Amino acid sequence: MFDQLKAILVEDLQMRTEDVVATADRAEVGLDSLTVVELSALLSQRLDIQVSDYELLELATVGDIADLVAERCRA
Amino acid sequence: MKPERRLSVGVLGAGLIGVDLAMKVERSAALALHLVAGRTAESPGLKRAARLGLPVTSRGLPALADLDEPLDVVFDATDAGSHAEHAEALAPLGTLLVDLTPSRIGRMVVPTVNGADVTGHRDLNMVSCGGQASVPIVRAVARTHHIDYVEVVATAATLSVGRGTRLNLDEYVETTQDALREFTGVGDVKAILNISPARPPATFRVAISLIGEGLTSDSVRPLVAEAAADVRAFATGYTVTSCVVEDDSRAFIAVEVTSTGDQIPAYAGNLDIINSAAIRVAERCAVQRRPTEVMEVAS
Amino acid sequence: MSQQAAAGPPGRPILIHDPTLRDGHHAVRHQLGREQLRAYAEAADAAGIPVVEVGHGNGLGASSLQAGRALLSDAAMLSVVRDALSTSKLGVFMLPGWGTTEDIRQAVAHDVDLVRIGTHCTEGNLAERHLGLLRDAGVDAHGVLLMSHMATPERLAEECAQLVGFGATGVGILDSSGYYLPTDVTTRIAAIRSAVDVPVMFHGHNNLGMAVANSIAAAEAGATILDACARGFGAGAGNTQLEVLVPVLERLGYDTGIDFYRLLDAADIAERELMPAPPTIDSIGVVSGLAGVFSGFRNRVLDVAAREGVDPRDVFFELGRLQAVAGQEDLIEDVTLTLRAGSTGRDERTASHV
Repeated sequence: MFDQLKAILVEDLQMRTEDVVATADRAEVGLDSLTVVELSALLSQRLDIQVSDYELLELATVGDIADLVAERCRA
Repeated sequence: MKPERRLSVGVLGAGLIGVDLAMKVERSAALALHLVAGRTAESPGLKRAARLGLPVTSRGLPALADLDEPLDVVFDATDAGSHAEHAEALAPLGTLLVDLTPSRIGRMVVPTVNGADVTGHRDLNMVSCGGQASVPIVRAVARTHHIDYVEVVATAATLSVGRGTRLNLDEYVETTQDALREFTGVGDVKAILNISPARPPATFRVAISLIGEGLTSDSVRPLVAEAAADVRAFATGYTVTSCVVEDDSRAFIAVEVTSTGDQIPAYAGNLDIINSAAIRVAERCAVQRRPTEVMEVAS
Repeated sequence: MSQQAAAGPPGRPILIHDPTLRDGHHAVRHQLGREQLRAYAEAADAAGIPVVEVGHGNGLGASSLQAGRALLSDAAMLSVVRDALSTSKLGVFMLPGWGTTEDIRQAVAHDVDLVRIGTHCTEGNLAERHLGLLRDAGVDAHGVLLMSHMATPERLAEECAQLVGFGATGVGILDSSGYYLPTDVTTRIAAIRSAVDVPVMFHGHNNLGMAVANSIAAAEAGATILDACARGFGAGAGNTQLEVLVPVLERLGYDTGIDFYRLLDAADIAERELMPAPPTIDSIGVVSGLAGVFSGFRNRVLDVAAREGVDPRDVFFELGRLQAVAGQEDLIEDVTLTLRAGSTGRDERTASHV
């Protein structure tokens, strides 16, 4: 799941591949309040899961986001 | 429609409002997006606009003013304090300015109320999100009832309120009050803005309270429904959620607006309604400038 | 306190800020008149209460159908209380989005000594402009966070540090719902103390009977400004009771500089002149506190629930679930109508959070 998230972050949201690691701080990789809206839409399109922008903003790291994405995919 | 007949559009400002506006311009059959001009290269909004494939520049106003062919329309999505300077720079070029800041400078426009006023004014002001959501309803009721007092309380989700709006709360209040007075003829008006951090985020909401005479459920509800239907023609997420009339003298009407654009979350109807209204105004301008396109654009 | 023999070393100073004539307005639908304001302000001044705050319950510019229309204009209230005070400072309160710079200018023209700018606890940056304006004007300005139980201690500390950056010369938190227990207050005030170097305030409500205990917890954690009202006159179940808090503080070794007998006289005047009856913790007060809902909602909830035949307790719990913030009184209508529709099976969609 981390790899799928990373692909979206790097290819669609144009983050630097070396920055996108599980321990990276959400804000440091550039996932601010605007960008999480885009990520929310991309997750819906690509993985068919609903993750809201405000839920993403409450997570601290890229790893936390990957965990939530995995949880939603299982549900 | 032939692309060359569309109005050329620039968007000044790449915040929450500017990027959504640019996406709406892209979808409009009457408008052609030429440039989104941010004021700082590193702004997240400008980067986002670039990622979305929109034409961007970080040179701000000069980039819009220096084009070989002046733009037909520029949307000002910056802040109230900067608008005068932007208007001064663009006025000589014949560009129509559609101002989304509460600057209190240009001619105020609420599409379903005075959309026809777009002709003859070079600087149009879109009032405020709360103004766009409330004026059509208050105006409809006030045209056939004696109204002594109007109060409009808007609540927006914290994530949908950017720094510009936070610094412009006074202007929001004053501009919304100006528009209520101007378009409804009621002198005693009050506007209030709440910001909610609730999770999940609260949908943008406007509560309207009226004090007047001869207000009954039968006289008020149809007017409210009709005014809301008119707004829904361009802001599809606009819904009346409460309409309570008491003692022949008081009415309470609550409206919610969801966003239907894909680049802003559903709860951020405050951004959607002012942007949708601005697009509506620019499209109307396109109709009036290019009579041959009336049928296509107005439909 | 002058009537008690001072034994031992001088106490730790604590500043009492008295919003009886502001928060108390919530209890009487903002209907205090000139003579009432004057009578209490003179008594508070005589007792040596350091700051007397006046205004509509929601502050400058807040007279409205939403929160209640005030009998007197802001200007009338300010001029009456200004004239009544000789040594006490005059304080006002303002919520950005409700009042504007124009209201602040008017207050400054009435020689207010202290302006508090309030925001919801997570929205401190709404105060940036007004705190900056007051700093530039040289007016003492504090930034205070409403409904503070809705944020973590860490978040409150960050917000307070930001308020200081905007120019606040004091910061603090309001327990607007009367939700806190003493340990909640201790952790929050301690977090704020470690984040800022300016005085820290605490403002309690008494819905769960904890207002005095919470205020003491705040003082022990380092707060040096405490709000309290005569007879607890304030929104909902009332505020921290002033004439109880002050002697309790003195017994604990704090020094308020307030004259005890004159304080009791002021409280008696308040009970006689300002209120039909002192606030009590009635059933609605308990529910409102447990639900974490703004105390000022009380009268409108009771009005609307009675009109629609809905249990007001249900309305409070639903408002709490929706995380209503201070100022969102308009939600009361929709919530009540939704509850009524739900109980009667009528298909009237009125929910405001979908």
